[in-house]
Amino acid sequence: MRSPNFRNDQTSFARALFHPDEDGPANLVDPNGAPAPKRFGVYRNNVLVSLIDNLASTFPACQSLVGEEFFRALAREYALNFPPSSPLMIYYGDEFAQFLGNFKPAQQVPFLADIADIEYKRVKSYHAADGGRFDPVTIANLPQQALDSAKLKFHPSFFWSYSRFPAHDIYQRAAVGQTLEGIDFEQPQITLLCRPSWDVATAAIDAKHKAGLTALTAGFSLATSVDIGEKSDPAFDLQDLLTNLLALGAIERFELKNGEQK
Amino acid sequence: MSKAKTATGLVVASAVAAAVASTASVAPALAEGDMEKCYGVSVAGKNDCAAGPGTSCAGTSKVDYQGNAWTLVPAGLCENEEFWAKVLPGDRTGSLEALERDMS
Repeated sequence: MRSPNFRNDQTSFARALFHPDEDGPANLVDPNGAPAPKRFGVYRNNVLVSLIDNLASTFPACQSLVGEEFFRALAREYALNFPPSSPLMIYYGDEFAQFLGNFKPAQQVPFLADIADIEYKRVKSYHAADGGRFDPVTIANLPQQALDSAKLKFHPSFFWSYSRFPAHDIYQRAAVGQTLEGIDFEQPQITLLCRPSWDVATAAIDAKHKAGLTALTAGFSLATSVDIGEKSDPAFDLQDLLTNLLALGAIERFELKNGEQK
Repeated sequence: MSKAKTATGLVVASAVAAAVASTASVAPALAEGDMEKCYGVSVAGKNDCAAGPGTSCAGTSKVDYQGNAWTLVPAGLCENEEFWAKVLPGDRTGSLEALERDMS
């Protein structure tokens, strides 16, 4: 039977779940009517452990970088402060990268937040809608200027992540449990992620593309993006960037101005 | 002004052409055909993701073996009735197209 204060009880129950230092909810009783703090403790622990397990399966490279014990302590801290806001547990951890960037103990590994960003985007890319594949015929025989004003239509599963560290190299090593020996940590890197078919593919590109890629993903035309890219870094190279994006299946098509679409 | 524009036009056009040419020769690193979408075999909440707008998304199926929820399975397995007879209750089998049965 519902207690008359069902709403209050529910709120205090939910609150107690994420405050293990506090007593359980006041009105909670076992079938004999006696207070049931131990039973609640078991339930609370199961909730926390399942959230920590969930984070461990979304962020395996992070766990491999800091070790299981430290990772689970980080994940516990995150779970207590950022309970799930959606019933879709596949997307739990959307603020984990940001949390790691702000959480002092995690800063011993300065690139940890960037690796978490890649791992979360990998999940988003994996569950994104299917998309189309670029067909070169769509841009054959165009007048030269037509591509100037063209914009890129990206694949729905395309994501990218900038890091002032070689985050993609680190991610790839950590994901399979290899050491970071020989990595040049001074090398910034952009990670591209896309799922053109069943599996998410990743690639690293030079950080010189950051401004140009930002412009393209923000919806600026190719010509404007070249301007922005070159102003930020004279080494920006549209051909190199496009080659990498096309190879990954990240571009669905070039959107031409009205009337020019073939 | 117009001069600068022409210069960009050439830059963009040749960059696009070169990029397209260099990737067109590379066989796409996509292995379609080794997996297929199989409807009606997912356990509730364990389905894979949507094919696009209008369909449901990953982890959202509400009942077991919901007809419009799918899971990726190795190619050829989905319509193998003998296999599903062993793993699914009743006379259910997988389908390459969405089904009407077991809707919530």
